[in-house]
Amino acid sequence: MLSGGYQSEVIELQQKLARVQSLLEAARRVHATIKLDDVLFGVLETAAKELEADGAFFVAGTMPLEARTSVYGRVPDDWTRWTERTEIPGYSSARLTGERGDTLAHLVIVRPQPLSLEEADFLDGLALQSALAVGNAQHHERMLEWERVQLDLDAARAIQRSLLPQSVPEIGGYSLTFRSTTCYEVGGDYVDVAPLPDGSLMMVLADVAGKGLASALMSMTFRSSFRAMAGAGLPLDAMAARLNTLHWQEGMEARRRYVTAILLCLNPVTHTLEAVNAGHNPAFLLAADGSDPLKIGASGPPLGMLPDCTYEIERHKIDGGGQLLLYTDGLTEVFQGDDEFGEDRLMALLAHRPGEEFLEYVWKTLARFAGNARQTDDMTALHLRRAVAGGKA
Amino acid sequence: MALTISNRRSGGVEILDVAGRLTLGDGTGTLRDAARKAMERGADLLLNLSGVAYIDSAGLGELVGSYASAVSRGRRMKLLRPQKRVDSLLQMTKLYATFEIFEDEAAAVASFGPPLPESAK
Repeated sequence: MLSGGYQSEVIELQQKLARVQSLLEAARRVHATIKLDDVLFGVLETAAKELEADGAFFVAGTMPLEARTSVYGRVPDDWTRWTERTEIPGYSSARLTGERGDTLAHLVIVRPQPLSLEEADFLDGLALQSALAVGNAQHHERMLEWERVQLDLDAARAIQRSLLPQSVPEIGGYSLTFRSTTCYEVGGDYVDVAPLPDGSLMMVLADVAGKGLASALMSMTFRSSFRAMAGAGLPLDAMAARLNTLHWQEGMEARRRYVTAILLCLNPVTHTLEAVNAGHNPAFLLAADGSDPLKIGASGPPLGMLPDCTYEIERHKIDGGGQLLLYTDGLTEVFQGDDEFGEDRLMALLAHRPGEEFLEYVWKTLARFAGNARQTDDMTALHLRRAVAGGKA
Repeated sequence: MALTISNRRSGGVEILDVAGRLTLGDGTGTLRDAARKAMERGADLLLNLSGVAYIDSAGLGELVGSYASAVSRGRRMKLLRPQKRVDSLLQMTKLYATFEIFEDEAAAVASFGPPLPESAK
């Protein structure tokens, strides 16, 4: 017959084994799901049942909790008074510690008798497993949320691409191309071409400050204003002033997302070009005769930044073989270490490599310059070339 | 390099020594907060930009935003020693004329005139 002391040791060991087994079972259960609600409910149920408690509840730390998953079983009316500091008899607790060492929540059980050492170990072990399971569930929820945001952004991108000119109008004696790539899903650059009833062609290239979704939203607002005004017969300087006022009136956030833009109107019969530059990088106008290129610089500040701005129209003639290049600063502010691509190099490309595929060539050159590094800003350009008399554009 | 701003007071003018990259995010937020706090203290602002080597479009928006905010509060904001990058961006965007820009700090501070008596603020 076993001695009394030995027998009680065996019983104790058996109890410990049972606790370990139930902890393993509890761990298996809380890890069996990645749904946060199920994890939380499972933890409370396991804690209450294993420790023969009346009930159990969570008190929120950094993890937000919903009422339906934070209480299980019977809890006293004043359970919400429980805090880590108040040692109210009849409550025992363990902390769920998050990945960053923060307290996700406290797991509290309601039981008149205090916990034995083993029971307290069990509760701590359960809290540790719970915290891991909560972490996994939160990761999963964030991933689902991210997928939803990604779908939204994909849809926004599709819309933005569809709002670019789908076909470039044929203008006798001219070739016109544009290209636009964003550094994120959507961007704040905008290019548009609008043929007018009198046969002339209105063009705009604009860049909203910043990048990403906020800038994309502003560029769409700008597009609406531009499109509404394009056919109204307003002179370009008045149009710029009006666009400035409309944007400025949108308020403080919009003013931070101001727009630099060049508005153009080409008469392909008289070959005259009207241009207004509102705080944008200078456009290059290059004649075929090898003379110095002309820069169309800003006559007024960016649109939407300050109230009551005025702008001036520049008028130029485009001779046979002449070229015009509009671009956003994403093209010139490409870096190779500390070396910036800059205006001069872009202008040199225009002078030495004209032709149908010019913009494709520019993009390739810039990618090579940046060592094929990821694009860091939206990039948009518009290239117009007049055919040499009797020749092809 | 993150943007840092330290303040000095000279009469009724608060001089903000701005250093680092004035770009979207941290940089623009830091400037906005510093300018707002200085204006809440009832000061005119002199932004010392000699330590700002790089600015992006959002940074420029913040400069103009702080300027507009100063004007709307009946305060003034001027710029001191913008470096090449800031200077050329102000030129290119035709905003150079919007700001009063100084190379000499004493001249910049003097341009605000004598400090207003407390009762006039």
